[in-house]
Amino acid sequence: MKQLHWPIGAKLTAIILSVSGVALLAGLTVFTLIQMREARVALENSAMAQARLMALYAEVPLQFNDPKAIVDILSRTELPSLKQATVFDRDNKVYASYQRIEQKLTAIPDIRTIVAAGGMVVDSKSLQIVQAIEHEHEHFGYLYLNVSLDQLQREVSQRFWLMSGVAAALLFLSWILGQLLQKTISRPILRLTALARRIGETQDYSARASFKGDDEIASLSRSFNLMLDAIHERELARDHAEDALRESKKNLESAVQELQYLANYDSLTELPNRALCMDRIANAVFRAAREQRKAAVVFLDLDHFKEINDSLGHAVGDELLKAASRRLQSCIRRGDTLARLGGDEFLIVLEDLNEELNVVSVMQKIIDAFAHPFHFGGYTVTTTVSIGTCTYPQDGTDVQTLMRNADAAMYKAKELGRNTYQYYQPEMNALSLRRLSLVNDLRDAQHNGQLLLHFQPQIDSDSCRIIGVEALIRWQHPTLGPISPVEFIPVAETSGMIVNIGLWVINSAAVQLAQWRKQGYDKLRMAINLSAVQFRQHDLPEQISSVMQRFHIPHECIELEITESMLMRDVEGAIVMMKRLKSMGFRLAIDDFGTGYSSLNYLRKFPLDALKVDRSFVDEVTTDAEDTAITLAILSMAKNLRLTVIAEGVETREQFHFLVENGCDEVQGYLFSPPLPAEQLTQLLLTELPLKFSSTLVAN
Amino acid sequence: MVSACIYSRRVWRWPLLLLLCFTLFSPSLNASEAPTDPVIMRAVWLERFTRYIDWPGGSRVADANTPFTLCVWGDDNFAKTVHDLYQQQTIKDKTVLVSQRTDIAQLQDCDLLYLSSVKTADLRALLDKVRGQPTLLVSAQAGNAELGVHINMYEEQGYQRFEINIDDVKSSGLVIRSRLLQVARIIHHAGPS
Repeated sequence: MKQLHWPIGAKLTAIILSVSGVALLAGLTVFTLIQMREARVALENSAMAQARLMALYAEVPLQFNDPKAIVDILSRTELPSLKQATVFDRDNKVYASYQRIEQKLTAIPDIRTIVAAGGMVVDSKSLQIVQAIEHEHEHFGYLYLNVSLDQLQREVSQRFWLMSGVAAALLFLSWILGQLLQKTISRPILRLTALARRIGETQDYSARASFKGDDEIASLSRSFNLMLDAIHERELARDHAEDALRESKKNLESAVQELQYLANYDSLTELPNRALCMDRIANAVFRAAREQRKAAVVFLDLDHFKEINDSLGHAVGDELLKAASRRLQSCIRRGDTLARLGGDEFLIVLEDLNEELNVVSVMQKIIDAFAHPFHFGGYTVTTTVSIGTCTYPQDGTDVQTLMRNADAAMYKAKELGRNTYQYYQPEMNALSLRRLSLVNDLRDAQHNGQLLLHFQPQIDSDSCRIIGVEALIRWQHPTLGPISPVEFIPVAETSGMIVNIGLWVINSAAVQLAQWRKQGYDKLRMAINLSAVQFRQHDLPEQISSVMQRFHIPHECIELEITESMLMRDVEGAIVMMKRLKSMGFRLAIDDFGTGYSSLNYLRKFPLDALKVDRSFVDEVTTDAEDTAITLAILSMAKNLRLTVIAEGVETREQFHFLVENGCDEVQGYLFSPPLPAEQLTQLLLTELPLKFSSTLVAN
Repeated sequence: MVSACIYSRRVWRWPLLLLLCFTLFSPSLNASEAPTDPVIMRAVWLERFTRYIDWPGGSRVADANTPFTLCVWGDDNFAKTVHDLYQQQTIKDKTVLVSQRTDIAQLQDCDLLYLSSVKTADLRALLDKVRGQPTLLVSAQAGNAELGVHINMYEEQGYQRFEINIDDVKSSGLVIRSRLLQVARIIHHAGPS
């Protein structure tokens, strides 16, 4: 069934008209029926009353046989619709009759049937009444009335049409009222509909429906507004969520970019890191192979960076790395790659090489760039670079090989005294392999008794007597022979084995000193070198104290040697550690004094007992004016601070005399004795006491 | 316009009907039946007049223990007819005593006095005698009503009619109902009463 798509206003009007129409029709019908019934009843009552009255009046004329009088009575009836009036005598014979001339003459019925019917018979056309004419139970006859219903029906019909007109007018009024009423209902609903449509089109959920009153439409509008509030809040929440999601996505993308950057770049220098560097080398190799060209891998390392970092701190070290990277960047072409591999190691990838001279010029340029000191944070730092290089394809055709060979060349440069560059030679790989094997062998050396302590005497300048010894570690490799501490200590430090080795040194030195003390050398002093890693151990004082107590060695017999760089890394921490050691009675000395960057102000704060002048000053103390001046300054400062001064590396009489004349308290060097195994030093202690040092000195 | 149509019996049938009345119905004449003979009709009408006339309280008619005295002056035949007619009938629910009178001095107990064949001079004397007493005076002689008879029957166009002297009825203390007046000719007393 097809559905009507009427506007709500038309529907309301139709409903109102339908209801009104049905009600009016029903009312009209009922009214008409009631009217008809009432009119008929009224007519019946009226006719009956007339009949009774006429019968009453006809009674006397009938008794006194006066038909004329009866006709007169009948003719004076007040029933306008009377068609016929007839009086029957007691024999039911017509006695007198009267008929309206305009009424159609009807046949006179058998009145007995009417009497049998109760005195009244009504059909669609007429009303027939028979009334007995009696007096005191004496029957005289009957009065018969025939009343037409035409007039009644006409009147009812007229009233019907009148009421129909009124109903039509009322219907029209209903239509007008319907139009007005439906506007009061449909207009707010239509406004709501338009608002809903507009919101749907514009997605503007801030709009609200206006309403008056407190009826259902107002309630609907209120509910609609509440719904819009909820949607608006949800929209805002969604917008916020989308913003947050967008922001989160942005942050994520940024984080991913940062991660990608961190994965490929060094955060300090913003240079490509090892991973990206390897990728760049691979690309360079690929392009060089395709274009039949050469490429070079340049490995470089800042000389003495570790000392600078340890002595001046990480902040200075980081600044140095950044400044170094800028200088390196200035030395290469735009298309070349400069990467930081880690620590102070950098790598340069040079492409489109036609002549080796190109690489040489770059390396020389770098050497020259580092000839000038760096200035930052009030410090002036001088550093050089050691450079190793190899070329594709003759020194390697893959990334790993090229990097390893360049690294080997750089180590060669370092071995050659640093601040220089080296081309890769095939034999250089042997050195790299040696370093690798040293790391592996060192792990077993301690347990296999390959590590030894040698002791170098420390001589009192005035008495030329041995007043102490410095314990120096030695490694007797089963196949490689003696290995210098200069070579294996850095290996121990980088591999983390230095802690155990350091403890072993303390323990071994204590064992040996205890033996010497048993032999009567109870004044002998043992100098032990501490590594930077050991010095950072919080329980170092307790560890050393425990060892010494185990061997009944007084703490003042132990002199702990610390390098300048160890102190300068964390001055306050170093002071605390030194004070703890000092409070236990240990002697404290600064090793290699003069090579670092110690401040005199700090020097005053350290609870020191001695300074050891570095051998580099002693070497040329008698020949180089600058070294002479530095040594004199150190001696003077030590005196002012009431510190004992020990000169290392004293190898000639001139050096010894100069030092003695300028107030150096103690000396140590080959002039008196090289580092010796314990047994030999014991012999020296037994045989040379107390004066033979002087003769040896004289003899040399 | 109204037209009247009267159904009347044919004149030629009267002798036959009269004969029938005498032969068949006379012995059992009933006042409630429709009379056809003028004499009988007059006798019958006497009772019918009483239906619409009320006697004053305190009169004999008002007394339930006394019969209704119907007096007939003169005319023995009419007296007999009345006597026969009302032997079994009642007037005003009372038994009827029909009495023929000839003495003017003996009229005090008459409730209804039918004057038949009375000379005018006698009539005047008689009327004077009963004047003021509650006796209904009925006659069937032209001019009697004007003289003082209360109800006087007469014939008109073949129909029996009656006239009522309303003045004398009033003076006698009787009350005639309007319905009776409706079909009667109203007569007023002629000259001083």
